[in-house]
Amino acid sequence: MKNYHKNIAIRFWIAGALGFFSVTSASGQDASANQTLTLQVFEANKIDISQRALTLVINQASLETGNPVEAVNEDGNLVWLTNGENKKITVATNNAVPRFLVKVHALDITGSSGVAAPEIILNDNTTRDLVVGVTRSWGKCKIRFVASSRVSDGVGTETHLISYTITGG
Amino acid sequence: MTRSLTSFRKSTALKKSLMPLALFVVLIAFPRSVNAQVYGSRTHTVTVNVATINNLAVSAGSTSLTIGAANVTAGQNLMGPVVNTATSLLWGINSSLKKVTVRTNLVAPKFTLKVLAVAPTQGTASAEVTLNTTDKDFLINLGRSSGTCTLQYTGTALASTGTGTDSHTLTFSIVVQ
Repeated sequence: MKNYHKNIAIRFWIAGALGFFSVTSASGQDASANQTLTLQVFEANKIDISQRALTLVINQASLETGNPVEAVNEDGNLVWLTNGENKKITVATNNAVPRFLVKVHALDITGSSGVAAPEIILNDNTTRDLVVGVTRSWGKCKIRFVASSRVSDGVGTETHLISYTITGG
Repeated sequence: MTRSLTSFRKSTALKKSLMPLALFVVLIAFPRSVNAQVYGSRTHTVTVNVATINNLAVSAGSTSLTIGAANVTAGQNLMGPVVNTATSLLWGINSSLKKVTVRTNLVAPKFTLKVLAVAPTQGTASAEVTLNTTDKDFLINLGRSSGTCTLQYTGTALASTGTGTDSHTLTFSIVVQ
């Protein structure tokens, strides 16, 4: 009987001790949860022009030469963005055999977002470089159009559909 | 005059027969006194101790954001924002005035990631947090409650930074406010 009571007492104290330690280990414990998040950025290239349409009118002639005076337009702005490397902006007309001369040039490129190529004569529908060296940048430039004609070209109206493209350099 | 043996036996037998009856009467008359017989007693103390419990979980272990051509505007350096509200945070707290903080393990992320607690069912959402390795308040004024909120992640990038991937391990923690 004595041993029986002794065993009961021992089991009681063991249970009590275990209960005590489990309570203290849980009390005051801060909880946390983890989450994995992946943020992926792909290459993106975008270009836009501020003017959807413009008209160049040649209606004056030079008194000295007798040739028509050039018509100039610098109202349009070209804007672009790329987060890729070694891009360029090209320009092309859909007019394969233009009658009157049209030239285009990129002016006042912002920051270091590219380098203007030399002035381009749009005398066929070949794609030509307008701005080169565009890398991880956003940019803006003025588009300068110059239209001219010779007396021998006569009179008339000509339409160009100009395409600007940001592409791999 | 001596009593005869027969009469003695009769009286003894009578006593014996009457004994159960008497006992029965006592039991009927004094039931409590019979049931209350105590042969010994012991006492012990029982203590109920409820510990501080904080539970926190996210509805999904991983999520993602993608920035591409659809999220950019020509002429601007900023790409995005893109937003993810696909996951939520759940908690259970049985003590008063706690808050939830958030941090990332990424020391130098290439792109910007922000997080905001949207529509918490308990507590107050802190202002949108730009994530770095420092714990920042995400949800405050949490008392004894269980609740949930939507995790709104917003990602942005700069074109000048280029392309790439940031992999974050975000840690949300319940701490004393």
